[in-house]
Amino acid sequence: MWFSFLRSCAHVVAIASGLTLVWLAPATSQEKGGKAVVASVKIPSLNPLHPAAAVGQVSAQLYGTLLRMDEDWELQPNLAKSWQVSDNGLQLTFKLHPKAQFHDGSAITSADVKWSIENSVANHRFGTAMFGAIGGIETPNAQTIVVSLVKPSPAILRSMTSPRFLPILPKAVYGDGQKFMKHPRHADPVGSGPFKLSDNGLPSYLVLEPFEGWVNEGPYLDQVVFQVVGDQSALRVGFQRGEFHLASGSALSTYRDLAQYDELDKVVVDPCCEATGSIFAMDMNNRKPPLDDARVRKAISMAINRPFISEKLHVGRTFVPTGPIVASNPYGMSDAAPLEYNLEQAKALLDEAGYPEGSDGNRFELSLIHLSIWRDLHITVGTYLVPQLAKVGIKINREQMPDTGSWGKRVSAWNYDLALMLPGNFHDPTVGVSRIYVCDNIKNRAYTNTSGHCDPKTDALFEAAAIETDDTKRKDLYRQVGERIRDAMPITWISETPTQMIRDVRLENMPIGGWGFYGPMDGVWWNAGAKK
Amino acid sequence: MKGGIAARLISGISLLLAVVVLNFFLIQLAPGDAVDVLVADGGATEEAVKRIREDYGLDQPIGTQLFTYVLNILTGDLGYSFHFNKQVTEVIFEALPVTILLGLAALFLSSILGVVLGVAAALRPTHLTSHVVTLISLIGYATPTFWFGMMMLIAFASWLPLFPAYGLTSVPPPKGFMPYALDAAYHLVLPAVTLAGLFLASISRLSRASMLEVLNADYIRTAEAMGLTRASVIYKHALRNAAIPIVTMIGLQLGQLLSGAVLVETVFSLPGIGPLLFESVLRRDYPVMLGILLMSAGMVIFANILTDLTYRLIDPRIRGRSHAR
Repeated sequence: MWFSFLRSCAHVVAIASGLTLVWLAPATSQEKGGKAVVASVKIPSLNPLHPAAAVGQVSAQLYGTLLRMDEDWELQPNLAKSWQVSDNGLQLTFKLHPKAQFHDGSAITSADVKWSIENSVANHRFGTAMFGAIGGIETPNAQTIVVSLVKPSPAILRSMTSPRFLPILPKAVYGDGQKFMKHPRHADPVGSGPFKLSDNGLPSYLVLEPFEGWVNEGPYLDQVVFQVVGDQSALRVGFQRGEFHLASGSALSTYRDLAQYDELDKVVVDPCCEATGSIFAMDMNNRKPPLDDARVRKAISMAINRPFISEKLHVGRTFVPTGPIVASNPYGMSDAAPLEYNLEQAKALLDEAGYPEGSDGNRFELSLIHLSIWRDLHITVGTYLVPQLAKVGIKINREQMPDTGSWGKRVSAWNYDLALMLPGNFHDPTVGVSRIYVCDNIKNRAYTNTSGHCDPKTDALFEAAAIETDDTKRKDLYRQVGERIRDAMPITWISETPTQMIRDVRLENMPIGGWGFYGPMDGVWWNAGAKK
Repeated sequence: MKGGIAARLISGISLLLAVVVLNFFLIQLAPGDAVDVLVADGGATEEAVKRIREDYGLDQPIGTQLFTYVLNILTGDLGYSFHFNKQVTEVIFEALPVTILLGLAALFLSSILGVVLGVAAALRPTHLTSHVVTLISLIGYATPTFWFGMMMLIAFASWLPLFPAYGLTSVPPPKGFMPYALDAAYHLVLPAVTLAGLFLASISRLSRASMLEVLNADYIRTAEAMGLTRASVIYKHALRNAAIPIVTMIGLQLGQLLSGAVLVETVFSLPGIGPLLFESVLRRDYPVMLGILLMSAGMVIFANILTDLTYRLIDPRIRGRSHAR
């Protein structure tokens, strides 16, 4: 009995000690200090509107935005402490954070925001697609901006969450009459983001330090260094030696190369940055036979074994698509059935379309053009498609284009049967999806509706969705769009290809979803004790 | 001699002008242009594309573009980079010192080592040393530079982490000239050895062959018969005569040096002309491509003139011929 009593006492003491220890131990919380080294491909400029993805990573730290988007795609305040959308959806009112300031110490005013919006409309390649609905901008006082729209545009707020689209810039510096895209101050920028430029060592490196005047919590890191690296081996060695902490694995490595990082103690590779919505697709020139027949296009789509591509060729790092919008996008068809793989049905469709197998086993020949970069996508899939489509009697004449310019010229001239391409959905279908399918965007330019397919009903659905302010109804409209396009199959989608983020696990709170590392790192902190 | 140099300079400048025009047309022959690449991720409106073309002067007829380009070159303006958003001269001069530094280090290393190995092999042509030198040369000649670079990186930056794997300096670079120079030299060890490997093979092979030929010449036998010391025969008589083809080879290596630098600088992430050329080709950044081609043509022509002058210094017969003219 005494033994039981003593044992019970011991248990009580042990539990009490444990509880005391738990109470005494500091909770894992954000601590200041530490340096993050981001390995980057060449950073050509610090102009936030430069299209290079590497510039986007830096811009996210240097330039602030009115709003920010969290990892669940929800809008959050940033330089604007609040915002309001009128009931009819035609007026947006933003209130700036009273302490918001540029890196030179000057206050961010409504005039700067107005100028920044006008600058993006005029100079961004997506300017009209994102902000075309803006009818006027009023600045009743230094902290209030009222944006009037000619039609509701639910996408516009998310377009204000990335400095790749709408960086807030000082009018006094950049609005001096010089051309923005050639402005000399891009070498010595005045930003508005959580980090400011401390040392511009481009083309080799950049050193950023925290901006004391930042309006939100953080930044916690003492320093963010961007080190330019040109080779996969150097990247791997840098992570192995603990010298690099973050990188885009898609820029230098193949999917198979990424497996090497699993062997490292502190490094993980995650699919990230879903707001860029990268989807690998095959454009089909719908103008000429046999691709003018939807049955042929569907047969081609059906002859592609997408699970094989994702699991074997891309070693599980890409996903099987369900339609024109990536599943991770709020308007994607995440619950729809994946595109079907059925060789027999593909053959039956081709027979039905009037293309029987000839004596040599071929039904017809098609040209396929693709790029010589992004090896996993263009080269590997392009090579795979030749024997794969031969299984249903389609002879593919594959042409590898030496660079983007040559590829762009062929696609722009509609001089191809099939063309592999990598269009980004971006953060909203109005920016990255409708451009590929709507009738009034059949243009002699890559990443427009180069397939030439035109369906007024699809256009009407896109139009209705673009101005629908009720999110549930909007999702339903995009679902109808997806189903209609899947049925007509003007192009076909091969795999969803999220950016691969190579990350040291000690970089705590690194944003992975939403914009991922194209978003600000003000909440990121260095946790030396973090384990894989 | 002065007349000879002037003639070489005039022909060099004419050649350079021809290179400018030829390069301009060669690049125009390629399908697509910088704007196709700039708007390649799509979404750009027709107005945006038109505006970009106007901004960069690409809406002008080819003849006008060429005329403007040549005129600008004569005033030292190589144009504006579409991709880097700055003047081409600025872009090139940021990268050029890195390539020159790497090239000179590699050329110095390979010349000294190549001549020493070649001479050693020629002095005892049937000895093991000669066979080893031949073997090293053959392997060096047959090994692709980028592969050799990657092996160096894996061996001496990963397995034995003795040297940095990337960059020209630490970040941030040390302050003060000497600490900076030492830091840069430390970062240059692996790239310079890799690039030197490319030339070492050919220089040592040529030195060996050239020395062997000279050592069998009558005047060498005469010098030996006269009782001159072995060192005097080798260094004063044989090596000096064997040096002419070696100097020619080193001069000619300059063109190859640039092509080697493209690969070595990419592997070791050095911000030199190599990755810049690669990036500008991918981006169809014509002004940068043309600027680099012009600069490399200029460097090769300059190296040839320099080689000519060096002959005259080494070989009194050439000086004599020039006087006779």
